[in-house]
Amino acid sequence: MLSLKGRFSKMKRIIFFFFLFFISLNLFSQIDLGDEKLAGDSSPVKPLLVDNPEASLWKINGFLGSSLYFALPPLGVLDNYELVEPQGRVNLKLRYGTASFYGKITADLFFFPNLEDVTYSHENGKMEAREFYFVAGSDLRLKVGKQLISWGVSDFFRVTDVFDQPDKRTQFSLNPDDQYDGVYSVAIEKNIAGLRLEAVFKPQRTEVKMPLEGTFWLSEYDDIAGYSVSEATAESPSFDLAQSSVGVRYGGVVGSVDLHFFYYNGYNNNLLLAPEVVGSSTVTNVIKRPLSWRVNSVGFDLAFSFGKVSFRVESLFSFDMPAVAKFDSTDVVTAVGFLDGATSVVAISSVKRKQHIATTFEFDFAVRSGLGRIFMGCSWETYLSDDASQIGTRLSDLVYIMYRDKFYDNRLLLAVGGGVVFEDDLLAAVGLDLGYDFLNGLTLHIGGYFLVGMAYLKAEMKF
Amino acid sequence: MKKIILIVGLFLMSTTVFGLTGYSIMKKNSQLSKPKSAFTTVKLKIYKGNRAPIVKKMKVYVKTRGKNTKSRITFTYPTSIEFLIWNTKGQSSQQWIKLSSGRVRKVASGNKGNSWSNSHFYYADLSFSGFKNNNYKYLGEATFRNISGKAVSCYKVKAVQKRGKKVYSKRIIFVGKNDSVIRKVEFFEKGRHTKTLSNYKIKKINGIYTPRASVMKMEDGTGKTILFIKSIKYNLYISDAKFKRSLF
Repeated sequence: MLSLKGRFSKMKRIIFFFFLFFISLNLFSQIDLGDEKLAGDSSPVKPLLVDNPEASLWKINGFLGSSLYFALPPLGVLDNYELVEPQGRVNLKLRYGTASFYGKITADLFFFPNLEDVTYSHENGKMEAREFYFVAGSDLRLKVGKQLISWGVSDFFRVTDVFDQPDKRTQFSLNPDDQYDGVYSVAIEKNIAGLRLEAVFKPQRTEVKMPLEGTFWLSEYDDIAGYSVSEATAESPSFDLAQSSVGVRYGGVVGSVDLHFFYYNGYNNNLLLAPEVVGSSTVTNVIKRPLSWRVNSVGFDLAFSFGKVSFRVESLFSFDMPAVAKFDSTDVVTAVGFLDGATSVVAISSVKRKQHIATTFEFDFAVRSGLGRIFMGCSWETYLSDDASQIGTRLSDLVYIMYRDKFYDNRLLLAVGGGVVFEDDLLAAVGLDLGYDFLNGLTLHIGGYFLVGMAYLKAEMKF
Repeated sequence: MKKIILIVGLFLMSTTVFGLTGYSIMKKNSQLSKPKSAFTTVKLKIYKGNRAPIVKKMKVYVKTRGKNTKSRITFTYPTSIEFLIWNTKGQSSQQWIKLSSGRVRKVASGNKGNSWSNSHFYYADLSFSGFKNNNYKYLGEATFRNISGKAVSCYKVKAVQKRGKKVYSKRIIFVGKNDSVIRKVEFFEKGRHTKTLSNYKIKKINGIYTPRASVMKMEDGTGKTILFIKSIKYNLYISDAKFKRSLF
């Protein structure tokens, strides 16, 4: 293991090489100051009946990116300031077709270079397709394939996002693009009475995203009778009609308000953890396993502007949300007692079904003549028949604030935000991002998520 | 005294007998052909200080039906970002932004006096406050020099907004004598001349006068923005689906 000084020296070289490419792109992309050629004013005498007046059926964009992540002290499971992951990335969005018939692919190619002292739990490269779908129709529209289904209106902590669980663990740390994985599904939409009816079928249960141990979202919250406590590894999703989800949503713009109502029958996506004892007579520990059960839910979202302030509210009511009863250390002792030499798994908590409600309220407003914007919100969830023996969900009862601004002709970018979770032990996270936008597609960012345990350097060239 | 009355009377007659009131000039302008729909590609060049210009490109779909105008603006360079805007005459507009993640967020309308897209255009410059929502006064004749230096004879009209939040205390509009097309607008904020819009390369496309290059220049010398209409197609059939919030 290198010393801290040596590690920073090596980092300098890495950073230099990673960013040299992007800087050179910027230097050579001089802007043409010559006369503009104005063409294409071939308007028809009679109205044209065309589906796509644009010249090309292709739409291609994306970005080239590179990033370096470093561990900050609170991460716990890694050495402080350790280089966690140098990453190269090609993001490509391809769309082909007309407005009413098209296919779309959003794919990422990741490259993780081999560097001394950096080990991966995955391959040196990987490819992911977040979207891969086909759309047919306009008034009646069919959308089939892997797609982003993001119900709800709030920017952070969307409680009504029932199909494609956003990565709540990293609300302050990930690019918004990266918070969704996309889900395989079939969606049918139809205009009815001026509003839109949407039905979604997802033949797959999506894995529950588990926070990294020792981070803001999953503090070491229990030391159970001296046994080691850990989280279960996430299950890989599989196609299984028995584990499918369906939802119906109706809504649109009513007056000056965006309003939707929906019904959902599928798996809960909030982070409920049920403790289990795993082991034998010699090795015993307690794991917390994510609890994902089929639930029936109804909900709504609405968004409106009042003056210069935009408001967003969304709420989800579940009739039969699983609720985990609390346990005490004697449960563990008893459970270990009847393991009696054989490797096995024993639940040490009971699960009941209860009515549950989750709500997020959010608003934002412009500052500094519209250049800056402040977002504020709160999110909470509770069982309607709460009792002292229940374990609450992990990502609840929180208040957050985010301030984004641009300076120096929109070149210098600032984002600072944070959240506080009001639990028995007050938890907080703060994120800071400073960026420079060359206004030609290239942006550089430096930032960190303090109390989450990660700092980064990023460069991105959009095309 | 009689002579004075005669001179004043002749002056008044010269501006009214021949229909030359500010109102009539602007009414003629408002009666020019307008498109019911359009698809255009636009390039913005924003000059601030001595730095290289900031370049932005976008595609714009517009459709008008009665009092309602709906627009869909897609910025294609340097970053990809999309807006959907619904305007109804006499009402505040509704706007949505499509984030790169595909999510759609309703946003409050920009303050009319705020800069649009980091340029020297204000939000107020993008939407006309309404022909009938202004008091007009004919100020006389003037000339406007087009890009080749050729003089174009114009009428000068002062416009002061009647109702609603005022960004400008007044505007002085130069309207072409022969074609009633607006060539230049001088904008005044709190009585001070702050910026000037000049329309160049005016082409008649499908009977619709179209400035292919518009320059908004700050009078204090701090910069200018040139808006080029790179291509334009009028009166296309554009499906209503293009402007639906649910399909945005």
